[in-house]
Amino acid sequence: MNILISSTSGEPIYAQIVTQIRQLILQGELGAGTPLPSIRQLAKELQISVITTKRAYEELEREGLINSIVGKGSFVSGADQEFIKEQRLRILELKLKEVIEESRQLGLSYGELTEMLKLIYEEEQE
Amino acid sequence: MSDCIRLEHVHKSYGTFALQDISLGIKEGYITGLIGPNGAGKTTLIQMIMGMVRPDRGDVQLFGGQNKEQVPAVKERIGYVSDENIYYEQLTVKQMKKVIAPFYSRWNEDTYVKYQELFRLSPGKKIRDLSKGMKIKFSLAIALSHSADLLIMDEPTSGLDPVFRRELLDLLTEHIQDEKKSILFSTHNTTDLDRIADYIVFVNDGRIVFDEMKEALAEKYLLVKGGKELLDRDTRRLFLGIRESAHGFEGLMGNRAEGERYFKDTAICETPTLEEIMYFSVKGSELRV
Amino acid sequence: MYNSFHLIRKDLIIVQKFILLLIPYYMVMGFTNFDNYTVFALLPAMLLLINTCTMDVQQNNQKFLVSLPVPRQQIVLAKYLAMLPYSVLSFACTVLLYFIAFSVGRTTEPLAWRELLLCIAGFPLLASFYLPLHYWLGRKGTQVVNMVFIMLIMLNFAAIKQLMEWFPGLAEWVSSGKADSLLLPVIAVLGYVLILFCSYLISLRVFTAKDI
Repeated sequence: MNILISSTSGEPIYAQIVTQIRQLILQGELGAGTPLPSIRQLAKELQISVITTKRAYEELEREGLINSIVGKGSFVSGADQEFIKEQRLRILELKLKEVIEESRQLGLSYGELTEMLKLIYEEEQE
Repeated sequence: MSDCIRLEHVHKSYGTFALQDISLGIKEGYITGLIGPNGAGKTTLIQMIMGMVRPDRGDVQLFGGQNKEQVPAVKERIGYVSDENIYYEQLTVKQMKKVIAPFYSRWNEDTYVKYQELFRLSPGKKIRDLSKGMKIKFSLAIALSHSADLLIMDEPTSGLDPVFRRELLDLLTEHIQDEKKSILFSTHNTTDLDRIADYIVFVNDGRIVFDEMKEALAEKYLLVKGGKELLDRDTRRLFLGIRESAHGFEGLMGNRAEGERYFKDTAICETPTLEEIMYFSVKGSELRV
Repeated sequence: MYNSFHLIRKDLIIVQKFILLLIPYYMVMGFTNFDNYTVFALLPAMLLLINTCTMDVQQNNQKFLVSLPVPRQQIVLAKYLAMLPYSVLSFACTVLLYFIAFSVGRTTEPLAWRELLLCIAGFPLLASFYLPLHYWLGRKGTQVVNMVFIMLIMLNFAAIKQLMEWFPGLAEWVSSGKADSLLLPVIAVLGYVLILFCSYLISLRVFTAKDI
């Protein structure tokens, strides 16, 4: 399992861990039931604090991607891909709602917002 | 979660300097960094925990018991690493080890030999002739060999080269793999050890500025960089410390949400590093005096 | 108690070199200054004690001692108990030296056991003034205190002579081993023990309250 932490990216370290483990799970590299390193083990490997790692695991647990069993450690959850995708879609919906709220405050119309979305989407793809 | 060290309303004064009303808990199973500028009281605080300095008032408790030092059992669980040499300089490494070992019931000679080799400590060398880094390594080897539950380190990295500093991070994170072991270290150089710290205690001028989970700091503090026209009487008051230059200002705010509300659109808002938090807090407190 | 033993062992390790220096010291003194027991019996013991005390405060070694899992009371107690091995060592060396001198014919006088004992008894007495000062003044005052006490050791011989003049009974006991009454010796011994004990209490009080 490769996890690479950048201390200069500005993204919080716990978020970097969440993103990377999530990706590994969704891409199927970590199958259901795969044990993850213990919180302290991972903290040691990455030379970061225990609490940061704990926070990342908690986040992953909330998303339903991993299960933690007291005394046994954390495992990739048995949830099927559909469930995980649904979960993530729900998160995405929430974020979109925030965007819509923000654009209303700024007085952007639906058309302007989709235009903006399209532009940024294309930019990111390059 | 229990505390392995508790300080309650501790006072200590030395002429012009005073530690004032220090209350603090160091969490068992975690790494706590004690940061602050030189002369802030970090060493005094640590020496008070070690029972070297007696508080004028207040209580120091180790592992839940009062440190009235009829309890050598408590000290046996502590490994102390100091930035100054506390060993007998005229003795060799081997002799010094021979002096120390019988005091600890949990002393493990194999572990000691392992670290002696790992750190390349030559047993025949006099303590006096060890470099500063080597002295730190020696005291670390001692502390790890009596399997201390709590490592207390006063400025451990100040004499170390970058290579060993990194190795030290490995040793320390290895140490707390056992969830019962804790580490407290002090440093004025916030760029090395703090990456593994779970909690940060910041002392300045004899007082605790904050005692927080490191993860929470990013959500609390905000660094604002912007044009000087943004600063007026009212906005200045929002900052803990400000540095102004000909081309603008940088300032630290202690309430991130409020700061973002004010400056999100007009200035650059960043998450400050520990060093920045330290710098602006110290600068701000000097101004207020 | 067990810890005191380790602390005394620590003291002996740090003065290892000094103990080796005693061999040439006794050889030289044996030739030049044979009838003064002070230089054989008292001076080495006192120097051993002063040495271990000085080394404890020289660097930050008291910090080391306090960081050990040992109560401060034991640290003080060990210093007082360490007088015993130092006295025994000095006594043994003196006796050995005497027998060597006797067998080579350098001296024909029998060993004055009681005078020797009296002389060695002077060591804990001096130490009981030295140690509280050592704990009180710490690193700063140690050098001055050391000087003063080395001079006091030199006076010890004269002091014993003086003492014998004041108390003829004592001189009588030293020369013949007979004592007229038991009262005076008993008082003396009690006073002696009392001084040692008070000295220990003062040192303890000073050291336990101190910031190292």
